[in-house]
Amino acid sequence: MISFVFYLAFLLIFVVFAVYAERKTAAFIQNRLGPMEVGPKGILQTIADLLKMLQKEDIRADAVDLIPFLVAPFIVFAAVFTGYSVLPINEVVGGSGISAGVFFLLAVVSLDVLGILMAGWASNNKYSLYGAMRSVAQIVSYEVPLGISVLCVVIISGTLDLSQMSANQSHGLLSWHIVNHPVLIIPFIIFFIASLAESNRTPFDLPESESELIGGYSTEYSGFRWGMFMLAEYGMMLLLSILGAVMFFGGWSSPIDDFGTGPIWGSIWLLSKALILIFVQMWVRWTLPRLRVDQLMSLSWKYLTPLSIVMLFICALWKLWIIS
Amino acid sequence: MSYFGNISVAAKTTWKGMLLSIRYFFQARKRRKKEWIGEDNYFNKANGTFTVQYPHEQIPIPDHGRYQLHNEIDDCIVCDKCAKICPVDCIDIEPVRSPEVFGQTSDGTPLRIHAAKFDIDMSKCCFCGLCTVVCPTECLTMTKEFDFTTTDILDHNFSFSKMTETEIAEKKQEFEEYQEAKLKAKPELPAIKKEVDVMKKPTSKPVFKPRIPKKK
Amino acid sequence: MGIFIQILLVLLTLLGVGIIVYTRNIVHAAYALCLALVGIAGIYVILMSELLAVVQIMLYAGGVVILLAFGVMMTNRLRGDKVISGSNNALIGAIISLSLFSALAYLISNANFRTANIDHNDQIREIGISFLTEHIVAFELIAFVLLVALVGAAYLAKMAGDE
Repeated sequence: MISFVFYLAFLLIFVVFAVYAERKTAAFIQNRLGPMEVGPKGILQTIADLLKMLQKEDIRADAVDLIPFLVAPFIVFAAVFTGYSVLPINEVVGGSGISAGVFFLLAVVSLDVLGILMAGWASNNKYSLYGAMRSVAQIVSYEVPLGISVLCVVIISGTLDLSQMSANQSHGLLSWHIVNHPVLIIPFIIFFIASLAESNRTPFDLPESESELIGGYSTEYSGFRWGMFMLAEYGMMLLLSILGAVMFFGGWSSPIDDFGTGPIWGSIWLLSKALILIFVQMWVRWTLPRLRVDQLMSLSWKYLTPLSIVMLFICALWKLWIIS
Repeated sequence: MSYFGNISVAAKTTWKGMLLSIRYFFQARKRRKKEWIGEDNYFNKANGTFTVQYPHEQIPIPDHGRYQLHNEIDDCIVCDKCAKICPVDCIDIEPVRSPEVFGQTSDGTPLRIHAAKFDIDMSKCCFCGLCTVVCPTECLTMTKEFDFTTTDILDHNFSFSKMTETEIAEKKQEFEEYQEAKLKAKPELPAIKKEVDVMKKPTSKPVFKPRIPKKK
Repeated sequence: MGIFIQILLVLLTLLGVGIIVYTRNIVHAAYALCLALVGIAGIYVILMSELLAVVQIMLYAGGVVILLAFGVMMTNRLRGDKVISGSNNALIGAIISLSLFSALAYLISNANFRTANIDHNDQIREIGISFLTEHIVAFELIAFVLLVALVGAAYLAKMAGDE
């Protein structure tokens, strides 16, 4: 319960600054300055945008399917945020103690597709529907390599519980999964690519692609409901980054064995690892162009899925021969 | 391309792209210097952020920049050449003749005509500079001033005449009285009116038609 | 508290099922099916069967229902039709569903459920071990059926692509 409340507050603050960081990262990569006017170095820009967004009219077009239209943003956010319930913060405050752990996380997160589908369908708009269709096809496809790469880690660590998984890696840098078991490097890359696709980020942002679908499933939304979609997108980014930090980079453990232990240090370590992964996501977003639909599908089914199955096999052998 | 060839090309190009963009990210610590276009490395600006935060800072522009038009009305002899040459008709002049020479410009040309109205509509101006070329006293020039943004488009019509309404009426009155006096003295010579007509612009411009040779 | 949540979950499930039965809009029915399945997953959690709940959410709510809704949207909306179901064959339908219901009710009331004696904190491990020892034949058979389905689907897709 504590972790849930902590992550809700952290997520809201994170989104405000992540949008700012995203714009600044984009600007620096493109030789620009980004927001500079509101506050020192433009740091209050997102707050100004947020105030503007909250004051906007909640537009409902005549032809929308009203109840699904109104409910969809909350389903998307609820699905993403339920995933946070199993994430640990530090060695004292673990997540919900269910034994299915990471499996539960992947299951509820896959429900956000339903909200996206609802939004796209209820908007009664062909661009929205195309966006929703693409989103479903993409998320359902990329769940396969994502799940298998998570399975590789589960095989190596022997537990589904994320708190237990972090506790296994809490003896300095050398005990982190990705260092201790270098066979996990390729599963990490697969996990990272699939997590980009799951959170609809560039280069996999086909569902919203502003330039062709003018926002996809969120085209018809305005004001607070649109903000919920935005919140869910950033929430998904943070969720999968924390998950990646816990599974591959030692969770709350510090890189040096006895330095910086304790609950506060633990949460700082975990969140800073997650934020570094988020920076990498932004860096990828402003480097790579968007994929075509067929390229997206062939990347998932022809390259990532076979590779992840091979890696699953190799991880099983590693577990059998090297660890035991 | 083969399956593994695809993978290696994808990995290599992604890696290259990522390195490129992170290099730019770290170069963003540097800012572009405020140099004007005449300096040697003006075009070597790929390093560092390029943005000029315009209202707060500007790139220096040369003193002979040719942007907004300015008329030094004290030197203007109201010859109307600029209005005639203007390809977009953005200069609007209303002359009032004076009975005698009433002054001198700074280069010594005698002033005979008052400028009751000398308006340049900068929203029409195409910045060709022809008016400044034909100006005999070089009173009409282009200045380095380029930011003449206004909220009302009518404010783009810059008025250079210093004369007030009463002054204009006075001068008109003066000239009419003079003309009448002249007519009374020489009633058979109403040639002045003709001269006023010359000041006006021809209503239609000569049209040039390209001659297309006919095919045989 | 526990009983309150349990009643809430049952009501949620019943609401979902009720919408499925009474709505004429197929897409709404698909959403309501998802609601009912999530409610049932919640009941599984109350009954201390986490793994089953997670599987329920992942496979049924997250997989089957979404493919269902996806299919409905692909077929009708793109042709411009309204997605409304009619009520045909009311009599035959009523007879079949009543007999199915009574058969199920009879079977369930007469069934002898055994409670497995497993450690709730480590049920996934125990279920996995029993899959690979006691129930290995059923497990492998299901895997084989799924493989056949996968190969068949790929073959059908390839045939459709060749035309």
